[in-house]
Amino acid sequence: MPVRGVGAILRGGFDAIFRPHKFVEFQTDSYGASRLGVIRQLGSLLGVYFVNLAAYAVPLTLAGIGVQSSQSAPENFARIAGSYGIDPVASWQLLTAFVQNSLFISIATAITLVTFHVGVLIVRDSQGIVQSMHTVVYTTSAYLVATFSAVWYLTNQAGVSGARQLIRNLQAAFVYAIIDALGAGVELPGGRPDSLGVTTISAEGQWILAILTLSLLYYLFSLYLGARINHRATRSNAAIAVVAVALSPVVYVTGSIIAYIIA
Amino acid sequence: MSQQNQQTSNGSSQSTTADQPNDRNKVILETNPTTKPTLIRLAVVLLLTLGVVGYLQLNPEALGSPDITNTAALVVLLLGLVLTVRFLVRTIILVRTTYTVTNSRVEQEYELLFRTHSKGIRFDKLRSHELNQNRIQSILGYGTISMNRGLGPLRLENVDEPEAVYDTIRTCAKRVA
Repeated sequence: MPVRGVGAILRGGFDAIFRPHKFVEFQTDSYGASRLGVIRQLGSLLGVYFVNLAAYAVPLTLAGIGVQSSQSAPENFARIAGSYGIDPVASWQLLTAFVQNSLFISIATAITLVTFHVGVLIVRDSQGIVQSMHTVVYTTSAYLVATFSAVWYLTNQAGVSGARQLIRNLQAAFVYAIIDALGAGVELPGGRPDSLGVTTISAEGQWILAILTLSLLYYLFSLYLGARINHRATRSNAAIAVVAVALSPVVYVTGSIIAYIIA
Repeated sequence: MSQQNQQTSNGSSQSTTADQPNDRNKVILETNPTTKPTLIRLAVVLLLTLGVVGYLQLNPEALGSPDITNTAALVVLLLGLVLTVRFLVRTIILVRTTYTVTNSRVEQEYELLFRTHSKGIRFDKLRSHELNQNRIQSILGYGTISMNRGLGPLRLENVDEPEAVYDTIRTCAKRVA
């Protein structure tokens, strides 16, 4: 008997932490055999995705993250909002902040979906796009949200400057490794970091870094489980699908560097 | 930890009674999964976690700086904690799980937090069945019986003496077919 309501949320949280194989597993007994069934399942997954996206972005927006107080509403929006008795400026600022807060995670989800599905297609284990979408929607809604929340916390909170600096140095070192491999004479605005190490990381910073590391590990492992369970891939083929996702930042940075050089 | 109770083992007498409506739910075999592999995994996780965390605590400069080493120790500790809870819950579920083979169906049932979880397959709906044992499972004498893979599957995991259970299921499935 399926669990609903608060029970479903608690169970989802428990599964996400302790039983990721149950969390990413396609819960229906049979996959949509007809086109209508596939469309219905895709619609249902999109619903789950947008609910989770809202659960992530709405609290950030209401907390004032991304809200630009100097922004004014476009004329058409102001007219429509005004006709419903809503403050056009405040609602426009909230709407743009919501879009901004959702944007990065949506892009990350899209990249994950494309690279994961290409990965399972390459190893010829694909059981269909619905299975890939199911895996990515659930993976994103838990582990990628946790990753983004940890990064957001590191970026915005005081008392974690050491951890923030370490992450920035790691990112810069990653980009410079690709710049050096391509032999491109490009420099980042912050320059090349001397070393990865930082003098001190606060206890709070250490906890956030640990959670960030764990959420990334969960993210990759749940994709592996998704390939194994939902696409019935072998261990090696599932690993290849995960490598395809893990390589996407390399492809993205390489593409950006090449585009920068050409421009 | 596990027990196997072969209540009826005579194939010919089962075949004469299987068609009687009153005997459709007659229990042919009832067994509990073994907790041995889960407890071994739990012990390995605890030993590894304590070992790695202990090493990192005794060598603060192991990863360059004491703070980074401490962060790594936190990651290992949290991972170890998650796996420990997972294996403990799994052990509790396994202890409470019963696999039952009747004349008409195979069923898996366990009770947890005042809820009964039950899943079964009728033999006339059984389309495929297989017994899997890797090297470690063979050495420890347990295996996994999978039925109807991809069609609302049922997996009997950690089955002690899996050949006997699998033979019973196969015999019943043949008789109904």
